[in-house]
Amino acid sequence: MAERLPRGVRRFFRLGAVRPEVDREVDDELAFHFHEAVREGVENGLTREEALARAHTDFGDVGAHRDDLRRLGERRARRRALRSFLVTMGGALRGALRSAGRNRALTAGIVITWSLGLGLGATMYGIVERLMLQPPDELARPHELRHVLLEQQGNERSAPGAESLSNYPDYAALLGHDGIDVAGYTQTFTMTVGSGATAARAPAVGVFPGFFRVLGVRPLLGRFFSDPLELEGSWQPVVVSAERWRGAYGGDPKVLGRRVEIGGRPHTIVGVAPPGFTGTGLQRVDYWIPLRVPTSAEDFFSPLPLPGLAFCVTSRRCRWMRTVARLGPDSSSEAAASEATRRIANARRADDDDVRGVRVRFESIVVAARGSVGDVQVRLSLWLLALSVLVLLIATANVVNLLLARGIRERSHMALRMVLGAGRWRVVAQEAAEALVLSLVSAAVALALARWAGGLIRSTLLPDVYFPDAGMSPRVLALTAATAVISALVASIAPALVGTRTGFGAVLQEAARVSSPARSRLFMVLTNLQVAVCAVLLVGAGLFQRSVSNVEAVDLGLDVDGLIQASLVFEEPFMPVPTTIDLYERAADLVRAVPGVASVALTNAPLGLMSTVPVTLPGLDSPPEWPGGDPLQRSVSPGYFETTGVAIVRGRALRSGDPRTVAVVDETMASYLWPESDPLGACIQLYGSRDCTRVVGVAEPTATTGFQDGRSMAFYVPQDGDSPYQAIYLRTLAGADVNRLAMMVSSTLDGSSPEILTSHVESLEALLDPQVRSWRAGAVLLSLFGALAVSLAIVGLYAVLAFDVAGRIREMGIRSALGAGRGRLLWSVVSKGAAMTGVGLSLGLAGAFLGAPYVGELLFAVSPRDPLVFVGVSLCLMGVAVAGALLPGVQAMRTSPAAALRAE
Amino acid sequence: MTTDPVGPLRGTLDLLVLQALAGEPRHGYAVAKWVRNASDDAIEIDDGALYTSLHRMEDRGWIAAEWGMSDSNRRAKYYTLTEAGRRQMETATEEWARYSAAVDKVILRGEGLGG
Repeated sequence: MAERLPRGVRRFFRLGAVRPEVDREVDDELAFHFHEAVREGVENGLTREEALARAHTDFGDVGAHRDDLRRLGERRARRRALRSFLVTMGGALRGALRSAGRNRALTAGIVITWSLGLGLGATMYGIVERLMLQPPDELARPHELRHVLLEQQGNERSAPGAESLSNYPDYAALLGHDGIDVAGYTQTFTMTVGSGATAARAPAVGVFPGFFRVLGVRPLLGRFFSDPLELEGSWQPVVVSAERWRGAYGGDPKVLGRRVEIGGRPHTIVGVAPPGFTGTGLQRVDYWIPLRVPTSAEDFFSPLPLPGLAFCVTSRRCRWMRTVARLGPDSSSEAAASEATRRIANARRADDDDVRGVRVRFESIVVAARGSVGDVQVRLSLWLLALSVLVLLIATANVVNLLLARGIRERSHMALRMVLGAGRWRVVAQEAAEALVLSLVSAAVALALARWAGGLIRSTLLPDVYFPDAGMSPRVLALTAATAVISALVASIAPALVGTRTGFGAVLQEAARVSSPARSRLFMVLTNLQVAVCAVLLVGAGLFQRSVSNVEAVDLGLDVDGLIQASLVFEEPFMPVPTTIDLYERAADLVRAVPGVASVALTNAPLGLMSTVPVTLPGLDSPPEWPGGDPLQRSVSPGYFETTGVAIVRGRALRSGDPRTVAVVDETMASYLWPESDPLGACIQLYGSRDCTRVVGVAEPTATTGFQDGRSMAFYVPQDGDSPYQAIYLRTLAGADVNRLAMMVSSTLDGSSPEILTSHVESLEALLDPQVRSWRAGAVLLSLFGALAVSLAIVGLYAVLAFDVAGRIREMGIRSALGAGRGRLLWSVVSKGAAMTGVGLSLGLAGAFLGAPYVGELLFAVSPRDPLVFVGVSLCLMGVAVAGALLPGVQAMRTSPAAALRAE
Repeated sequence: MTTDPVGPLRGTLDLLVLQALAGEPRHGYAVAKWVRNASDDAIEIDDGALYTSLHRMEDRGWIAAEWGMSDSNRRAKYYTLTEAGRRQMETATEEWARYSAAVDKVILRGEGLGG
């Protein structure tokens, strides 16, 4: 393999002619031996043939001995090469330190530039590796694990593909099956842990006891759940994460047996999970709560806000869980899937349930884990990785520029070394080794940077994903080191060649004339590329920033600030409607008493839930055509409008004591139904009835799910006893801590009545945040990348122009002597900078324009070719050009004829 | 001393070669000749094995090699004892003396029993 490398590289590493050289030496030595033996034999009176035969006899097996000698020789040569490499590196280190001392600013520039590029690359690679390449941590033999999907035809909800196997009866059909070991678990819930002043919120997942066995995890402390589950007296066992154990319990080994209230239910800590364990997902989970394999409906008890489980034990329509499977080492994925399909079909037939097109499919655990992260975030991560590679290239290009600059400055040193007998390759190797030292120092800085600033990127882009080792996996470290080495080689070879090209005499003559046309061209191309990349990054940043502004400008109708949404989870899934309404009304009274709550209202249609009702108008034979479907009906309690902040634009809001036959319609509906006339007092008929519901007010339109829905028409009616409430809205007093209040409300509601299992309380801001997150992440990160690239480009531009000016000192001096004004000299530099930026900018904008269709769907209400953004970026980069050119320009301006003479 | 049965023999060969180089630098052929002469042809050694021993000791840093010109005016590889080699030779000589004395003792007792 070594032989296939180019000669220069081989010599560089002294891999060179190791084997042929050793072979030749061994052959020479043996040839001498036989020559001497024969000579002596002949002197003693033997014939040549006899002497040779005697020598062979004395020597033994020539072939075998020669092989031994060669082997020994090669080993020796390799050791010598390593020693010499280490000596060279040691020399390089000393050289690098000396040279760093001589050119402090330049060295600092190189290290900063490189560490920014490498740090960004390391961070983004760490993220993408977590998302795309690695299974979640701590799983044994993850290649045997699969996420179980269930495909079913004729089920319109799952029509486009398979869904997670999410109902208990089908799951139960797979239990106790050789060759595939399954375990069910729930989604992550944010649970209230503890009570009163010490209450906190923590992510929790419910798992069937076999979960840890299937994943092959071992506890750090204590034990996992017994299968079947045994209670700790009347207390339910719980496993806590290592991170939570270290944080909230101070890493106390006596934590086992400690009691903790989760969702208002008593639990006993029986074990601590290993550090970094996140189950099958990528999000941190602090509490693992056991689900009991149900033998009866009452047995299915859990603090988690799961749907009524009595129903779910027997119904396939209750989808509430996910399933992970471990395939036996010998069983094929296909065989296991078809066996699982057969079992589920049999179970369904036995229950007289639908078996049409039922099919089990397996999904890789890596893909399934990624599924818990937003698709936009995943794609954004890939884009950002690609961009970080570009930034790294920019950084390396800049280092080339800076090293070229140094190479030029140090050329006399190199020439001196060459005159003193160092071969050209030796000098180049020394230069490369110095660059290597610089790049490895940069890599170390980069990793520190990635650890510290990378946290910012990770939490902006993927706030939910847990990076156990702060994104610094061994692979990230290795890749960063390898990238550093490669970029050092790339960056050092050219400058070293430039530095060693000229002989000593030529150096003395040319030392002053630093600017050669060929090198200027190289500088120019590199700088233009940098500016182009900057343009692309800034366009991206601008587009995402516009998306964020557009999202934030969306009027949801609701006044999101200080609004909290609370919903109840009942023990029984199908509570009678009047009971539900009653429980909600009682809960609302409890919430109203919580300090910090300004007002409270109830609704059947909180954010994300919709209920439509057929509406007709008197005098029309058939119902009107409703664009976007039937109008949304919102049954609300009095005080709804003041609590949610939905403005009444005409008439009045609903009040307590209103009869059931009044309604408030939203503006969309009002202007559609009564474009010409006054809607107040108009009549609408609900549910096909002939009774009139009178319009008493008009409200502003509101969102139904979030930022991206098309507005349907909606109307508000008082609770008519038929539409169960689904949520409590509460407005906080000005200045109240919304999250703290949400927690207090949650612990007030949890267990406040035997029918209430638990509650789900969240501020509207938190509910909506995931919808804004991807744009915000894109805007923040692209701005960060862009700012980095721009600052690197300024350095690059500065380097080019500074060397251009230095090379033209003589010309400038002459021009100055001939009467050129200072302004003209300044302009000559600045205009050159602007011209160079102009080319790069055009390239970059053209690239962004052509690439626009690929990012279009990641944006919100902004064209990927938004002219405002393109113009803004152009202005910004021209400003950068002037900034980069100013210092060299001033230097040019100050050139005096005398300086030109000194340069001679 | 190792428990390896060929150990003493190999050690002996190295010792002989080191002895050969103790006086002056020699090339391989000269070493072979010296060993043969010094032992009055009593010890039979493959010349090839001798070279292996030379190279192995070069590896260990006991001897150093350099190319030079022989009396017959040909390029030859000359071996010199290094400082480490001299120390090794002294240790090995001492060990050999103890070893052979011990062997002698055993053999003498054997003869006594037989007689």
